[in-house]
Amino acid sequence: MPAKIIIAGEGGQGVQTIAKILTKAAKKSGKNVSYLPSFGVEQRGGVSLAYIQVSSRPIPYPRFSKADFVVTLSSRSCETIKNFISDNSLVIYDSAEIYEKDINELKAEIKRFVAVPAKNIASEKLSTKVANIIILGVLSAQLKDISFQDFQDTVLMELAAKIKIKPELKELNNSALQMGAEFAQNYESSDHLTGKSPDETVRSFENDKVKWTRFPEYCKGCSLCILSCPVKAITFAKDLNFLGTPMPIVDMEKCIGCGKCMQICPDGAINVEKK
Amino acid sequence: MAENNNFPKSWKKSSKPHKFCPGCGQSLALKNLGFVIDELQIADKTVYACDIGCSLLTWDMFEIDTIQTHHGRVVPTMVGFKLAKPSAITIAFMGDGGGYAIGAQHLINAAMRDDPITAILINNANYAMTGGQMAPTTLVGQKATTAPNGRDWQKVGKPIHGPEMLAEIAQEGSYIARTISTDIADCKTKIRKALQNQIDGRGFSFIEIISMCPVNWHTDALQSLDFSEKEMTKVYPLGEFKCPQKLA
Amino acid sequence: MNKELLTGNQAIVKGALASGAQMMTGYPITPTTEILENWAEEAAKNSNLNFLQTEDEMSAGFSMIGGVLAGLKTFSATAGPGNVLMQDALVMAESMRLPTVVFINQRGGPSTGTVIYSQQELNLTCFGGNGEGLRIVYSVGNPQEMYDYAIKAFNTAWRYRFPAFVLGDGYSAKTLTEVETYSLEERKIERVSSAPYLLGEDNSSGSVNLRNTYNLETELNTLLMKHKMAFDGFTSEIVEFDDYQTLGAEIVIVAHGNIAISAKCAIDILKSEDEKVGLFRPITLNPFPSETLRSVVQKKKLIVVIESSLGQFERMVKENLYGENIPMVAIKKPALGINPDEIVERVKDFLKEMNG
Repeated sequence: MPAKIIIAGEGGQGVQTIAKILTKAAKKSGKNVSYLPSFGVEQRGGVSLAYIQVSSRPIPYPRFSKADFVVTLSSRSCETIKNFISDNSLVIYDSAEIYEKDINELKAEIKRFVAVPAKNIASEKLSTKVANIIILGVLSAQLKDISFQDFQDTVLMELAAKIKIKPELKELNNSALQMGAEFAQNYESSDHLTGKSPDETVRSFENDKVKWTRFPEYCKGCSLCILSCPVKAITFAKDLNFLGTPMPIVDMEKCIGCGKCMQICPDGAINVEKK
Repeated sequence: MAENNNFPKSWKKSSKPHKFCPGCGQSLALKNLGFVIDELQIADKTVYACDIGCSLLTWDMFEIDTIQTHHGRVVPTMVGFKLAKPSAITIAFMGDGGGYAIGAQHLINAAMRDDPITAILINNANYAMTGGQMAPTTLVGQKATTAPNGRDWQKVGKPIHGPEMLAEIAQEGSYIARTISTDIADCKTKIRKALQNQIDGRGFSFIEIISMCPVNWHTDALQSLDFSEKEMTKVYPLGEFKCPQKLA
Repeated sequence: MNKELLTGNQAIVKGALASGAQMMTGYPITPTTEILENWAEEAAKNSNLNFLQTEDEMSAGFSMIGGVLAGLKTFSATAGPGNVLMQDALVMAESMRLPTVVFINQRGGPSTGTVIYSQQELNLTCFGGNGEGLRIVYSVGNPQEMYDYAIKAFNTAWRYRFPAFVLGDGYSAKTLTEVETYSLEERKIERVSSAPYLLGEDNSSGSVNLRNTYNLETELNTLLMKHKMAFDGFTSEIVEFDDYQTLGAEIVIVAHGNIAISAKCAIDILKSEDEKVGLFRPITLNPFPSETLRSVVQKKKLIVVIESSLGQFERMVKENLYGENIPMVAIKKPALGINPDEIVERVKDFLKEMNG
């Protein structure tokens, strides 16, 4: 069965990575395949789109209007994918990344869906960086024309250079793919579009001299604040910024309120105030 | 919600988070610029123009009247604006491609003519928006997608020294300097002087700001800081190459 | 009203001044350099006029845009290879709907060609750049028209906010002849005002952030469709042509600019010999007066396209007459002038062939 797949997310979430793996796996399974990346001017951030078609017949044109599989990894890309959804589309989305209110904006359009809390599965069991591979695993379970072995092989092939530097990536990605596939197999459909609840991130931290505030809506997790701190009071926390990468947190027992972290922050995401 | 004093008033709220990559030195330079504009209280009479390359991501960076131009053409656009409206404070913001390659002739002639604009150029030793190609500022031996074995100076020459070159051309009354975005105090001081020189009606002002590009350098934050603060400043010394007495 | 001995280039500067132009930016190139020189002289006498000699035509184009953004009626002039370079700025004006006026005096091409004459910058001026050609192009044929349409071009550009061009040629630019000059007031022509795009009076709605870059195909598509609708909306208000003696004619000559003037002389000669020949001359090449041309050529026996280029104009005429079944021949002489007697002779040949 020919399949039209659209994958959307933030630049940097790995949309194009899983699109490329899917494309190469399809080729490996002897299918015709077409993959068109589409994104704006930013290197990071901004909505990133991938148009993929898998078929046993030639695929002359790379774009399409409605997709059989609509995959979305971020809240912001929900608006973008709206037009691709038909009554027959299966929508696959990261319910740990996308806010419940955002996915419910598409309630009228979405008839069939898989809500996979990829971000949570990844951070609890593996690493936040493989959430996209979990999604790919879910997708692999739907694409019967491509063998799972081909998916597995292609993941390792695509990431070979990175695995060479960090051997543990091999197991991480392999597990992520399997977990995604298993999740899809055991998935019980429901009527309720679940999603992330509004953030309740702690923003401000204080000691008797200083109030230290972080802004998750601006923080990009670059770690310049951590490096600039002369007393090593800042580390990465478990909680995430708007890009879904770890945010800094401060140890107020150490903080001297020098403001170096604030000055170096390119995003205006830290405010240090002396009392 | 806690107040954010780390957010320049001249930054446009609705376009934040801005469009730059995590750890980008250019966005840090733009924060420094924002704070200086706040301090000088010139937002309502400033026109900001950006080039192509990553600088185009700033078309809605500021709560300041802005024009996004074509590649290399930010200087003439601001020269024309300033000529038509001398009371405006004009900022021409560009990258090393815009200023030293595709639009180099404009920068040189603006310096020669002593056009009273403030030009700010980001030197991150590569073409970042298109994904890390070699720039006129790429260091000898530094790898780029179009210099896979590193910049070979015997084939493609040595890195360009913009401020030094412009200082040779520019007239008395010009302000020409190089700074680095991570030295916040130095960066702000030089931006302030480059704007004050225009406010005082003295002449052409130009600063090059050394900047990190972790995504295209394939470096983490520490390596990025090291490369820009140690390697780049070795080749590109910080300093003032031309400074009117009144600004000194 | 005043009759003065002027070259086309001088007439352009006079016309620009009469219409309220305030600033010129440019780079010398034959055959337009005198426009730059004459404006420089005017600006030296009058501190209200701005002038900038730039380092190249790209700089001329973009500093012109800078002047426009600041609220001044700013213009430039160029030709040939300079026209090629200036397209960089002109597509930006087209994309952002900024009014600009550029005087093009065509020289021989391609490449450096000659500095003398041609009609070879038709494609470039009407459709140059990586866009759709949403621009207004007046084709003029003598110094008087250069004066008249200089005035008109500023009004059109600033009223409709698209780039406007006065497409002339080296012959018209260099010809010294009597030109009737006048003020807008004595002809009761409204002077369309200009206002700043940036740092304007009204900043109540926050800062103005102008761009020509878009993230998604759909964004750009929406913008372009809006521009196209605006352009089509005012086409009927600005489209201009000259219909000369076509009523009762068997042959219709279609020509523009300088060649249309030559053809008009030829028709006067042919008329005196009772030949049934008329002329249709589009004055706006973009937008093209297609409906009028179509109605003019109905039931004619032959269309004769005449141009100093190798089919650029013929292609335009054909496109605008698509579906009409009327024989068409063309006299195409790239980079070369075509005199009235030559046209008379050629048309007589056509008539002979036609009437057996």
